[in-house]
Amino acid sequence: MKMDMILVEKVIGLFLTLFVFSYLIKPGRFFRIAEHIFLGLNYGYVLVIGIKTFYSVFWVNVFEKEMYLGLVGLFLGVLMYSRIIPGIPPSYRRFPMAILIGCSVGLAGTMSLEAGILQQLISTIKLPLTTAGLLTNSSNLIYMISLFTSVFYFTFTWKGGKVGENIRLLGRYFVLVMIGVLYGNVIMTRLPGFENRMRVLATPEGLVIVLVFSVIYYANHVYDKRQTQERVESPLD
Amino acid sequence: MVNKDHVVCILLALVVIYPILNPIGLPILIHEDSLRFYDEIEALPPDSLVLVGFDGTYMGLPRILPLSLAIGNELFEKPIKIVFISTCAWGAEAPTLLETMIFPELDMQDKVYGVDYVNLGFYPGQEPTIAALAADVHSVVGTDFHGTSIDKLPIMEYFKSAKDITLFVGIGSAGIIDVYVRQFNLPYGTPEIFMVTAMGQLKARPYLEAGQVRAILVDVLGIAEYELLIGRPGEAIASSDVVSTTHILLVFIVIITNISYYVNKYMSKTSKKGDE
Repeated sequence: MKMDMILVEKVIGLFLTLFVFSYLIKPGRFFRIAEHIFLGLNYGYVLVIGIKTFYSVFWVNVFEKEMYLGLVGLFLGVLMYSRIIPGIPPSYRRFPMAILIGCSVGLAGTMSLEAGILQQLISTIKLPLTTAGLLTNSSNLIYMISLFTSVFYFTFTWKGGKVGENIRLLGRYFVLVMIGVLYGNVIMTRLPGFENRMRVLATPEGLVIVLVFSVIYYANHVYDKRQTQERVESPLD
Repeated sequence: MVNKDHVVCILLALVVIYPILNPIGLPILIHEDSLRFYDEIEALPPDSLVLVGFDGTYMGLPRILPLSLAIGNELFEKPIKIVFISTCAWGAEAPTLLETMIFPELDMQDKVYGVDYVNLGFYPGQEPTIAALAADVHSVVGTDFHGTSIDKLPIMEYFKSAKDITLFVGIGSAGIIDVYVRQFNLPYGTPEIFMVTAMGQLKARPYLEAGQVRAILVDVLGIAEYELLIGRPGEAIASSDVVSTTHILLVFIVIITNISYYVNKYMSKTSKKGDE
């Protein structure tokens, strides 16, 4: 029974993978099917998790642990849904949103200065001074040049003549290298998922499903073409 | 006319499939990042409390699964307490993933649920929730993932606030690394280590250099290195060939496109001169 389920999961997974890959040829019917299945499952799942979280965070704390302050949270939460009831002024839903954003900004803001700015500045200055070794030193040299030139690149108010222009150009190259690295990393981050799908597709069952899907895709393509032709030949008016 | 996108896609599929069918076995070098990550876990004293911020998604499973198995087996071997929790916006599916795909594959030794480890489930809200968890776990968490009140779970007697945590391990939660640094590390000094994606390391590295994060494990190659270090070869080692061949292809594409750019520029210049 477990083996059957694994096989069913594998077949569904393979078909959905091919449905999504069909986007590379043309964003058609198959891609939309996979898209809608994904969205439907996702929203359904999130709803279930939401109810579970509501029970764990609100119900247990308020009614079992008697932490009645949670009722204020419930009231604010309900106010957020006032958007769906016509006639209720927008200020009702703005109030809980303001509290939520205010809390987040307050919590993050007080710590951000220390965690995100001060510590980073200290380590930026300390790094070239605390590391040793020839290779590390040459890296430090590149590090310092890239730091100085890319910061200089963003000083738009002072031109700095020919020298300033050249420094700015070097800074722009460093920024471009950084963007290139970022983009390359985005692709490499998606690679394990692609590899996993290829690993499943490169099996005998995978190849059978590729073949079956190719036939279905071709039949659908012929059907669509014929429909379009018929519509062109016999216009409604 | 051949569509260039299709050529790139076909080439990419080929360089991924080839090493899957014929493993090359390229050598894996252990980097300092992975070594530090390994050392942090190995240095855990008995009776430590490890909080695992598990925010894996089904989409990231090919990366999350080998790492979770490697780290999970290593943690479950030690006489420590392990608490799993999901707090990221994308972590809603993480507790189910943990229960259905990670726990059944782990070598649990003689660990007992609720006594030695627990899955607390998903807690949304990010910054305010994490701040509240760090201050007082019991004021936020009512039940575990299975709906059992945390007052009935003996492990939760050891976990009241961030002060009780010996090590925080982030799996899939590197997207909010700044939040964990702000709310756990800065006020309570909680040591933190993270598994990050290739893309996420750019965000994580400044925190690592500043000493706010103790270690990071970078994507599939990092996981492969970790598997080598703990002596449990797994899926990540098998994937490292694919990573290498794909890198080679991408570098090749970058070189070719740059050459074609300059050749086209030169050709258009010479044709303009010819017209004149």
